[in-house]
Amino acid sequence: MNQLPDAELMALIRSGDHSAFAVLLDRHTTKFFTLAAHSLGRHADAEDVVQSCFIKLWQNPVAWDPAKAKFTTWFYRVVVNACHDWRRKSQTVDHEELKESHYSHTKVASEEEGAVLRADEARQQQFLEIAIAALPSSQRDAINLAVYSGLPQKEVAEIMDISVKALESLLVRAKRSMHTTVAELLTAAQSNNLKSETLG
Amino acid sequence: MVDQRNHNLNITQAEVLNLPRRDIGSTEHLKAKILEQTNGMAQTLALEEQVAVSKAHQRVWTRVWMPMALAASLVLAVVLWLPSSVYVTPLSSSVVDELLSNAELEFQDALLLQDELIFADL
Repeated sequence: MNQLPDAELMALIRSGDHSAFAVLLDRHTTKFFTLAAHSLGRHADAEDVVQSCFIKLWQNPVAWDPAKAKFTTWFYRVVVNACHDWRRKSQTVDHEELKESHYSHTKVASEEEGAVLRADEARQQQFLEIAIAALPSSQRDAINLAVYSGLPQKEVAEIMDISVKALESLLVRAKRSMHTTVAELLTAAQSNNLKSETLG
Repeated sequence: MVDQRNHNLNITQAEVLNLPRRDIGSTEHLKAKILEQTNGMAQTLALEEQVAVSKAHQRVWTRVWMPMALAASLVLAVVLWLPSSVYVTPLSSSVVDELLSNAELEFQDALLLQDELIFADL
């Protein structure tokens, strides 16, 4: 069963085959979780969203129409929409939370360890994530799907239901906004450093 | 000024274009959680289905078979008992045929109603 394509697994799932569902889950959970984690910022939220998406899939497998899109494209769209709903409901993911947050599995060296370079990298990563979180949702989706999920632009465009040109434009705007945000955060961080050095 | 700081922190256009991918860790516990939940759900659905079928059959019995059995008994009473008990001329064969054909029609109606009820419940 592990060798079966998604479409055949979905056909089995429609007939109530739970082992087919287990194979599909094993095959795709990580990629959808990655997307949700980058989109929402917190692992716990991403888990809830991915869990509810898969449960809905199990309850209503006929929601996927194989004639319209391949399974992963359709399910990426489902997850993206679920993330939007989650954000709308919770109204969280502010910059402060992101600064302190998440990605609990990520190994980042701390400044206390004296690894200045790693600390700078960590800060750089943090600023980039803050910048991504500050983007409008369409730009953020484009970045998450194209960069973090590593999908080809054509598929991202299909998931987002836009043309490839429009996607390219979204990506350019997103990157520009990110540059501005990162620059602002750096300026703020440097002035804070200067202040603490002066006081010290 | 900003460019200089960017340079210091090594944030270049290329890096923003190629954001480093985060290791999000294992998702095994998430998969296990989803499987556990959906497995329970599948069982619940099967149980609900069984209950629905049993209720449908019960309804068919009370609404279809019982009235039909009563009707059939009545017809039999009319055909077999009534003529002899009142000492009248036994029913002609045509009357008996008519009664039997009515009973058969009733039986057919009952079958149709049974199908409708079962499909409506499922």
